[in-house]
Order: sequence, then structure tokens, then C-alpha cells
Amino acid sequence: MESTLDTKHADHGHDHGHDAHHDHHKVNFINKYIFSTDHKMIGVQYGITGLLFLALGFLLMLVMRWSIAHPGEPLPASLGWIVGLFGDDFVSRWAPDGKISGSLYNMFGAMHGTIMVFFGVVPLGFAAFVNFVTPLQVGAPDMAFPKLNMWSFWLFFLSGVIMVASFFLPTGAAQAGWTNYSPLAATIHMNSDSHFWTGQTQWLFAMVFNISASLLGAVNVLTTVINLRAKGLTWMRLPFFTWAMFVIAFLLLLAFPPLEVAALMQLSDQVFGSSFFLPTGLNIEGSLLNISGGGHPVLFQHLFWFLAHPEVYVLLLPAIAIVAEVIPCNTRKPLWGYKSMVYGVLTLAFLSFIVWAHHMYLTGMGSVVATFFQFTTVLISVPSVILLTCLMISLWGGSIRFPVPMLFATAFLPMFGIGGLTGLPLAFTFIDLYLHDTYYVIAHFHYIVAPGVIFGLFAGIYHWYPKITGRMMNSFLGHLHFWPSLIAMNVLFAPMFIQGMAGFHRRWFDGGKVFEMTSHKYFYLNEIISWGAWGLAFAQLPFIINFFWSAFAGKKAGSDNPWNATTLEWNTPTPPPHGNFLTEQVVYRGPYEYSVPGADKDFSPQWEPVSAGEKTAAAADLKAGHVIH
Amino acid sequence: MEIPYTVTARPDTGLYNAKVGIWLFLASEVMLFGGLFSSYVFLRIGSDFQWPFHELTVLPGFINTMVLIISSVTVVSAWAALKARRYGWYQINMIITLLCALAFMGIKSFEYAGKFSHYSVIMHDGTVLDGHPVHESEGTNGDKIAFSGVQSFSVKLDKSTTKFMRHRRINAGAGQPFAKADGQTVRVRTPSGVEAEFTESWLKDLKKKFREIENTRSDLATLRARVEAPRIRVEDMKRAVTGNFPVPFDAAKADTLLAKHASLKADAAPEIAELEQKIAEFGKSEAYKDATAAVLKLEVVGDPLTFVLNERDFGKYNAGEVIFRDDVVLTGQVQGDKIPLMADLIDLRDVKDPEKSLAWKYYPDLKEEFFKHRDEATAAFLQKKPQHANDYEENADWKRAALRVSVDKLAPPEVAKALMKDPAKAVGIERSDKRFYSNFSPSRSPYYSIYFLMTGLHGLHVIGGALVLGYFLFTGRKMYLSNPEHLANRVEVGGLFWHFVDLVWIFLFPVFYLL
Repeated sequence: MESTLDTKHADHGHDHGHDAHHDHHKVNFINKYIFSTDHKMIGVQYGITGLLFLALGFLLMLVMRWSIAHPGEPLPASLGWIVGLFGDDFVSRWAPDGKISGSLYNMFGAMHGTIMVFFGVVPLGFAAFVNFVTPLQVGAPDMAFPKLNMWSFWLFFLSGVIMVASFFLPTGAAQAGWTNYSPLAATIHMNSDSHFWTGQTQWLFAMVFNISASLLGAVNVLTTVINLRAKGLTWMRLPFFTWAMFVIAFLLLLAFPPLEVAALMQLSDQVFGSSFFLPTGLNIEGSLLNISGGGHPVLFQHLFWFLAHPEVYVLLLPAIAIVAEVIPCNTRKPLWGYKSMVYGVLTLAFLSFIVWAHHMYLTGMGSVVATFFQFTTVLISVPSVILLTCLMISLWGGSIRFPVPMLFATAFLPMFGIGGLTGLPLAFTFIDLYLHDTYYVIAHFHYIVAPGVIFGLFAGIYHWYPKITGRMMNSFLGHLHFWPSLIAMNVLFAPMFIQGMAGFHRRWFDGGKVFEMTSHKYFYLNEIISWGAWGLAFAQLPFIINFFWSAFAGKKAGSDNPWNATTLEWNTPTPPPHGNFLTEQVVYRGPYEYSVPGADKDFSPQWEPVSAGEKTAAAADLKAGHVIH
Repeated sequence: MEIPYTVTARPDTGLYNAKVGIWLFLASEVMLFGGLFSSYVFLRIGSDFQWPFHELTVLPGFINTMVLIISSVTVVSAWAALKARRYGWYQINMIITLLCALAFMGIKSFEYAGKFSHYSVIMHDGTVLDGHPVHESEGTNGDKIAFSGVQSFSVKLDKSTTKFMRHRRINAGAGQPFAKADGQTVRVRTPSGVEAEFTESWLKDLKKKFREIENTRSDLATLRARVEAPRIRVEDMKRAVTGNFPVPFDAAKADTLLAKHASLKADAAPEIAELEQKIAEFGKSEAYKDATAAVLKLEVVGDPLTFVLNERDFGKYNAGEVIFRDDVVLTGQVQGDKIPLMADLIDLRDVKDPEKSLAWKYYPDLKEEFFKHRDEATAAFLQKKPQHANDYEENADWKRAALRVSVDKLAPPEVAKALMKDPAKAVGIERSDKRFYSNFSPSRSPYYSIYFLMTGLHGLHVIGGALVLGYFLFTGRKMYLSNPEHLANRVEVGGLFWHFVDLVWIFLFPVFYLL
């Protein structure tokens, strides 16, 4: 190894002229942009793939919203093209008269959830940001295992291809909801000619690949944070962003394997005819299934939610992580309660492993078990509230500036607050028995993941865009993106609380028309909610334009640290080269030292030693009896 | 660019990167197998059938345990040899490790093969007969049914394929009643009188035409539905006036909608006419005629066809029809659909009244001996565990000892051997009696499902580990010469994984073989 490295150094000497701080080997197009091992390129790859999947999941939802608001009416041409994306055969098979069939609605519903959670938000929120930002924040030249990093991206990509390709199978894509409960999931395509080439089976395959990719990614992130931190970057000097990502990686590492188990078992049920989740005497369309039976549907739910509850925090924490970077930077004062936030996020992660059965109150688990899970569920709101409160108090007394990332970050706080607080009643069995599977639940978690998490992610994109491309995103288009999105999100989700409390079920493909006897009073809200959805679609157009246009024609960032931020990622050249830093990084101080008394500017980056002025001011402060954070 | 701590340890953590990575990876593996073991417990506790125990032969499992333990020792020796810079000793130990992996997988596949050829019939009353099916007899092949005299069949143009043809058999002469009809195609006649070879490409072509017609129909239906939508809404408004929840009629809105309908109708008229014309032409065209309806009935030209079918291959059948899952329907007659079984074990643990078990319909001669055996087993059991005198019938150990009896204990050796091995002594089990029929594969019961899943995943880990260790053995010399510590690190990491795989087996062995 040493000798090969030596030759590389020798080569380097020759091309030194044109590529000063680039890697030793020559980088061709494929290695640089496609099969790249550079964490920043992989981050961008994850980000763009994630955004595309978010767009796809969003489009599927638009079709569903039409079916709910205008049951039985054919799709207008302005939405028909979305189904048309899958080809003429798909249209004539699933929407032969231009109307959305129940199967098509189920298919789009299941895929909307799956794509949004596993292929949209997690790849963008966790994989993209952790890949781009975390190695920079810890002062590392790259991830600990760059090749593994590339493999996990391509494994993820493959899983996405399988997931999308499953639409084109004769059975269509999966139709049993994103939770994929057996026995419905295992039997829905049982009459298919091949048990392998069905939407349900391919969903499982895609999930197995997706999970494996996540596991490899999580190992990489954890190793990077544990072993590649820069000199002087102690645990309590880590930016909160990196702490949160570290915790998420642990959640992925430990929570995903049980879902992998569930996926493998369901795969075995479908392909090998086993009965892990199929009970004795299962009857479909009047005939007994040719299976041994003796399995347990509830086992699937346990395995699924053992992952899927921590997964909720995998979705949420990247947004909190980003907001925790954006807020101190734009209030020009330290993050309030940094340590409480770190301990809060660790507690949150631990508790998230013992709350899963609150998704399963309706399985009749017995009052003792239900009480345990009610208790832990209420308990987990404590660290969540600590995180949110610290972020809110961080605003207090700051001279806040409002660039676009800060707009999204501040909007995140109340939106996430609404989503979180409306979740509290669901923790109690006696309320959940009534609200389970209604639009109330939909509204609750969409407030968290849509105006909550997605706003957080938008804040992150606007915040780090200048580091990635060297150019700022356009502020006018940013405002044009933010304000309509904020209004549309609320028009979209707030009425769902009312519908949910009126008993609207989340899986009605006709929006409740067949239950007109009970649903008529709130039926009109269907149309209003759909207007919110169309509005949200239009509100994303400025973002799409801004995203591509600014990369080429945006205002130049001007400096390596355009926001005057304090963490290490702003100490690299812009955009950062392969290998990231020009010199070895040394960290002298905590991550959020804004407006330090005695400093000559209102931010004191981690890479700058404590100045004489700061020392004097601190000493004076101490003498005056003030406690310094 | 160089990643730090790939070979040397970071001072404050005391670990190099790969070692951190492998421990984290093993943590997730613990969760993976932890999930599987928990599922095992869940399935076993909640089982509504007699959970099998002491059914696997212990010896091969025990040998495998020893084999893996030896390999764990040698993989450590290999690493120690590298640390001491003794490359030859490293190679020897690594080779032994890989041979152990090979031995493990060999024994495992031997165990698997035995299970795949062993079958079980579970009857409606809970009776279980284990044994081997007869492989060629009277037109049926083991657990399969013969279906002959097929003069016509129908296919569905949006679903069916020609795959069912692979089950076709032909008369191969005396003594050999059935042989596969590989490569021989069938000529068919379509309703419009066209004769053609029934091949995949011919069917595909028809399906493509069907899709083309369907797509045109779909375009037309969509267009019409969009034109009609405003008018239908007005109808709905009229109906709502007298409905359960009366809504006053909004005349102005109705007028706007009707005007919109009129204008849409006028705009769409030429396109609708064009599409209608196109569909009419499809019906007249020679090439498209057969593809206009979804179901296509085909007459066989020449001799009727015969099929030998496994129940798994099709959805439903009755005396005159077989319906495949891809909606191919064969019309003909069923011949001999009994399961010809040579039973080697009778298990009545799940039967309410063993005296009236369906087993005695097929093996009346064994009944007396079975209950004699039960009484002996009961006496022996009570002598060993007198505390169960009143509740022994609920005891799983008693049930296993008394109600699950192998045939060679129920008849003299010669007779028993004939019952278990001689095809002439096979009984024909009627399909109406059986609830489920399977070999000892994952489909047999959740116990075998999880046995195969866990041992299979473990086996994949053994293969994966062996591939990695093999890579270190066969390509390691170059690295050893340039940076022996790096190779030692790699082997250490591979060895950690190998120990984990060994540890999993240490749990698997008692769970499946002993408990």
C-alpha cells in the first residue's frame, strides 16, 4: 500500500500545475459525477434523487386529491398527464375511462407513502445533508469509507428503480398502504401468474435494498463522526447538526434490521408460500387459501413499527438539525441550551425504541401493555418539547435577520409545534381508538413531515446552496416560494383535523361519498383541501426555477463564509475540492460562538483561537460575577 | 487525499476506522438476528398448532457446531500469525477456516435436501401423515394431477401467458405413460377461423393488438367522461333536492354547467367520431378481429392435449375445468387426482378424537397398534412424571411421545418397510380429505418457515464471510509485502465478523435442534 501511494504522490507532482488541491488520480466524468466516492458529490446525488422522488410522491398525491374532491369524475387533462407518465397501457389498464379506480388510488396511496418516507425525505434529509455537511463539520477529508459510501448510494438508487419499475408490472405497484400489513399485502396479488413479478413482491425487494443501503450509510456516518473528528473537536464542541445526524445514524443502524426481517418474512410468504403472517383458515373470495396457516399478522405490525417509530425521528431530526444551524447563524447569538438539546436528542432516540406499539392500540393488546406504551409515548414528548423550546428561546433577544433559509426555519417552529401537540391526544388509547386511521392522524403527521420537516429541509437547501455551488439562491424567488407554500400547506392540512374528528377514514378513495349519511357536513372540505394541494404545487415552481437557474446565474457567494457562520464547513474553499480542506483543521471553541464579548466581529468561528480581546472580556465578566455559557 | 486512521488507531478512541465500522455493523446484525429470534419466540408462543420440537436430527447440527468452533479458533490463529509476521502459518489457518466453511455448507445442504424430498399431508381433522409420494404412477406424478382430453382452452388477452404449456405431457409409448412435450407446439383455431401455432410470440402479438384496441377505447371513454361530467353533476344536483340531505337547486350554476357541457361536446365531437371510426375499423380488420374481446377461446387442431399439473401451478380445478392463475381455462377431464403416499409417520396431536382420525381410513391395519403404543407411552410418561397424572393430556411432551408415532413402530419390520418404501403399498389420499400438502420446505409450517429463513440467512452469512476471508487469503500477499499491519487489520475485522456468524449458530443450534 505504501509503495502504491508513493507512486501516486509522484504522479501528483506532474499535474500539480492545473489542479492544485485535487486528488492524486485523474478524475474523469464518470468517476466524478456518477460513480463518485467524494462525499460531497454523493450528497448532491442523494439530494437530487431525493428531490425527484419527493416530486413523484407529490404528483401521485395530486391524483389522489382529485379522486377525493371529485369522486367519479374523470381526471382533467391538467392532472391526467400524471397518470399518463406511466404510459398508455398503464392508463387503459388502471383508469380506462379516465376515472381513478379504487385499485389505482390504493396503488398511488401506498406508493405516495413509501416514496415520500423511504425515497424522498430520508435520502434528502438524512443522506444528502449528512453526506455533504457532516464530514465538513467534523473537519474530515471525506467519509471514513468512501467506496462503501458510493455503494450505498447505488444500492439505494437500485432500490428506487425497482420501486418505480413495479408500476409497470401487470399487477401494478404495491397497493397495501405504505405500512404493507399482512395478510392484505401477502394476498392482494396472490392470483397473479408469477408470485415474483408482482408489485407487492418487488416492493419488498426494493425495501430490502433500501434498508441495506441505509445500514451501510449509517455505519459510515457513525465511524466518520467517531474516528475522523478534527483535532480539538471534542464531543461537546460538535455542532448540534452533527450530533443529530449521529443519533439518526444510530436509529437507522438499530431500527432498520427488524424491518428487514419483516420484509424477508413477507417475501418468503409470497415467493415460497410460507405462513409467517398468515393465520390458519384464511379465506379469500370464498375459498380457503392453499397455505399451512398458523402465522401471526400482528407479528408483522410489531416488526414494522419497531422500525417505523424510530423512522419518524429519522424523518424529523434532520429538520431540527438544520434549523439548529440556521437559527443561531441568523440571530447572531448562541444556540440556547446546546447541552440540553444534545441530551434531549439522545433521550429522544432511546425512548423512540420503546413507543412503537402506540401505532397498534387497535390490535387489542391488553390494557397493561397499552398502559406501558401510553406512558412511554407521553414521556417522549418531553425531549421533543425540550428541543423545540430551546430553538424558540434561541430567537429571544436576537437581532434577527431574515434571509430565505431563516424564513423557512422560523416557519418550521410553529408548524412542527402544531403537528407535535396534536399528536399528544393520540398517545392515549381511549382517544386513539376513535381517531385511529382517520384524517386527524393524517393531518397530525403531515403537519410534522410537510410544513415541518420539508420546510426544515428547504431551509437547509437555501442555507448550504452557496457552499455547494458557490452561488446564492435568488431571494425574490425564495420569497415567492416561501409565502405561498406556507399558506397552501395550512389550507391543505388544517381542515383535515376537522374531517378526522368527524370520522373521515384515511383510505376512502371517494372522499367519503358512499358514506354521505354521515359525512355530508364536512364533504365540502375535500374540495378546499384539494385547492390547497394545487396551490402547493404552483408554489414549488419558483423553487424549481431557482434551484437550477441560480446554479449558473445566481449571485456569486463572494466569500467562503457568506453567512458569517462559525462551523468548520465554512472554512473550506467554495465549492470544496476533493479532500475538502487546504490545511489540517484545529478546533479551538464551541460551535455557536456568536457575538462573543470582546471579539472584533459578531461571530467567532471554531477554527479561530480565542483572541486577546475575548479573554479580557471573559475575565472582566467573571470578575463582575456573571456566569459565561 | 488520504483518510486518516485506516491502518493505525486513533489515539483517543484506540481504534482504527474499520474496527469501529465492523462493531457498528455487528450491532445492526445483532438487531437483525435479534428480530428473528424474537419472531421465533412470538410464533412459537402464539402457535395454534403443535409446534414441532425434537424433529431435526441432532448429529449433523452438532457436527456443524464443532466445525464452526474450530474455524473460529483457526481464524484467530491466522490473525495472530499475521501479527507475528508468519505468512505461511497464516495461510494454513486460513485454508482450514475456509475448509470448515465448506464443510458447514455441505452438511447444511445435505440436511436441506432431505427435507425437500419429504412430504406431509395435513388433513381437515388435523391428522398429519408424513412420507414420500410415489413419483410415477397411473398418470399422476407424485403430488400432481393429470388432466386430459383437452380439446379447447381459453386465454385472457390482458393477463395470460403460454407458460401453462410447459406442463403438457405426451404419450411416450408402453410402460412410459407420460413424457414432457418440450419443443412440440400445438396448432389452434381462433373463433374467426384462423389456424396458427400457439406460441409465445403469436400470443404476444395478439395481446399487443388487444392493448392497442383497449388504449383507443380508453381514450374514447375518457373523452366521453370528461364531456359528460358537467351534465352528470347537474343530474346530481337535481337528485340532491330530494335526497337525505336536501340541497337547494342552484339554477345559475346548472346553466353554466350545461353550457360548459354543450361547448365541450361540440369541441370533442370530431375527436370522438374519429376514435369511434378507429374502433369500428379494428372490428372489421382481419388482423385485429380476434383481439377485440378480452377472452379468446381456442380450439385445439388435432389430438386432445394432456397436462400433468402441480396444485401450486393453478388456482382452481373441478372435474371438467382447470383455471390457472393467469386466467387460462382448460376444458377436459381430471384423471387420478389422489395423492399416492407412502407414509412413514402418523401424527394425531392436533386431532380432536384420535379414534376417528382420517388416518384410519387409509391405514386401518395400524390403528390397533397405534393405540397400544399410546397406552404404553402414557404409562411410561406417568412413571417418569407422576405429577401430571391428571393433566397429562395437555402436556406437549406426552402428546409427542404418545400421538406422534413412526410407522416402523406400528408394524413388523418387513411390513413397515414395505409401507414406507414400496410404491405398490402406497395409499391414495383423496384431495377432499387434505387441508394442505407440502414438502418440508418453508411452506410446511411457520416452524419450518423460520427454520429455513434463519438457517438460510446464517448460511448466506457463512458464504459471505468465506468469500471475504478467501479474498484476503488469495490476494493478501501483495498487501502483506507492502503493509502487513493493514492485512492483519483486515483479517481481524473479517475474523470479528466470522466470530459473530459462529455466535449466531451457537444460538440457532439449541433453538432449533434441542428445545
